[in-house]
Amino acid sequence: MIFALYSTMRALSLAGESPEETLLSRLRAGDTHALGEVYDQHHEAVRAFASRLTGDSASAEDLVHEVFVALPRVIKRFQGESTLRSFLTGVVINHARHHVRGASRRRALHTKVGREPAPESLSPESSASGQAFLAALNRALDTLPLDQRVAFVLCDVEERTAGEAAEIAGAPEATMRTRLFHARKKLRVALEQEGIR
Amino acid sequence: MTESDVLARAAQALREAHTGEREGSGFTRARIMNTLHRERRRRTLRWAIFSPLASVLLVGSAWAQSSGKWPVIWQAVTSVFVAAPAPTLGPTSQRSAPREKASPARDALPPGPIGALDAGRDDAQSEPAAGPDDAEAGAARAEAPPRRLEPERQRRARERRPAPRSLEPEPRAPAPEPPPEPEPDRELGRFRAAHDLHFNGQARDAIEAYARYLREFPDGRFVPEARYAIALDHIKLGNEAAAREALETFAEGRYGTYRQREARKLLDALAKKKAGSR
Repeated sequence: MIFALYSTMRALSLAGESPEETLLSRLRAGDTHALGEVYDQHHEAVRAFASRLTGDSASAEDLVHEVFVALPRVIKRFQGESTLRSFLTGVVINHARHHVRGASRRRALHTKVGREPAPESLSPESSASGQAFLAALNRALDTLPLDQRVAFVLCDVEERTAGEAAEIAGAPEATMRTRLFHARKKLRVALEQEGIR
Repeated sequence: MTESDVLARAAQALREAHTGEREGSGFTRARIMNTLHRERRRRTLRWAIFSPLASVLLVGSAWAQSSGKWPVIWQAVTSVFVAAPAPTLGPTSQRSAPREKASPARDALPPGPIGALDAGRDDAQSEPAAGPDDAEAGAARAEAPPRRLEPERQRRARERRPAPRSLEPEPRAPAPEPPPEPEPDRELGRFRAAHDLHFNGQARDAIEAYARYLREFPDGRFVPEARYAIALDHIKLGNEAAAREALETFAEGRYGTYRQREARKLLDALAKKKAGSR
C-alpha cells in the first residue's frame, strides 16, 4: 500500500521532467538500473577520454570502472549547468591522477626492460602502423604535468573550446589557455627528443 | 612539416587510436554493477547492526528520563566506571592513585599544622567534614606540639595544589564513551599498505606485503592486481624467472583479459633481453 502510494507520487513527480532529468533523478535516488543506462549512453565517450588521457587501455578501463562506481556519490554535486557527459569527463579528471601516474610508470618500465633503441626519425607517415608513433607520443605526454596534459587532450585532441575545457576541469578560462600554451610548448620539445619532427 | 603540424598530427593520432569502443565494455559494466551491489550490501549490513543498537539506547534513555530513574541509572553507571579500578593500594601506590582515592587518606591525617594548612587551602572541602567533635579536636590541636612537615606530605600537598576546587563532594562523572567505530575494511587496508610500498618503489617490501595479503585473503577482491604488482616488483628487482612465472598466468588469460596484453609484452621484452644477454 505504502509502496504503491510512493510509486504513484514518484511517477507524478517525474512526469514533467525530460528523459535526462528523469534519469538523473533516478540516479540521485540510488537506482542501479539508472546507472546502467548512464553507462550505456556515455561509456564510449568516457572511455575514449580516459584512454587519451592515460594512453593505456587497461588503465582507462580501471578509470572507467572507478568513475561509474563513484557516480552515485558524486552526482549530488551535478546541478545541471553542463551536460552529463561534461560532468563525467570532470569526474574522470578528478580520478585520473593515480591512473596516469601508474600508466606512465608502466611505460617507463616497458622501455627500460625492452631497451628498445629510439628510432632515428619518426613521423606519422613514415611509421607503418603508427604504433611506434603512438608509443613515442605517449612517452612525450608523460613528460607533461597532469593539468597541462588534461588541457592538451581536452582542447587539441577532443577539440573543445577553452571555455568548455575550463568548465570541465573546474579552472578559470585564462588558466586553461595558459596550461594549453605550456603543454604545446613542452610537447613540441618532447616530441623532438623522441625523434618526431 | 611545421611544428604545429606535428602537434595537429599527434592530436589526430590520439583521437583515432582511442575511440572508446572496446570489446570488454560489457565486462566493465558487470564489474561496476557488482561493485555497487557489494557496497550496498555492506551499507545495509552496517545499518542492520547499528540501528537496533541506537534504538535501544535511545528508547532506554527516554524511558529512564520519563520514569525519573535517569539520575539513579547515571549514578550506577558512573559508580561502575569510577569504582572498577580500585585495587588494594600500598603506601607507594597511593602516591599515584587518583585524587578521589587519595582523599580518604588525607581525611585520616591527624589534626595539626597540616590540617590547618589544608583548611587554609581547601576551605570548602574541609568545612563539610567539620563535625560536632570540633571543640575537642580544637583542644587536642592546641595541646599537640607543632610537628614538622614530612617530605612526603609536602610533596603530596604540592601535587594537590593545582587541582581545581570543588564544592560537590561527589566524584566527577566520566565523559560518556564515544560510540563504537565501524570495523575498518581489513582487506583494503592490507592491500593499500602493499600498494603504497609498490608505488613508493620499495619493491622488496611490496612483494612481502602483497604475499601477506594473498595469504590472508586468497579469494580477495584485489588478488589479480596483487599478483600483477608482484610480477612488476620482481622485474624491478631483476628476478626475471619469478617475474616470468607470475606474468605467464596473466598471459595465459587465467584472469581473463586483465593485464593480458601487458603481460605478453613484458614477457616478449624479457625474452628479448635474455636473448640479447646471451
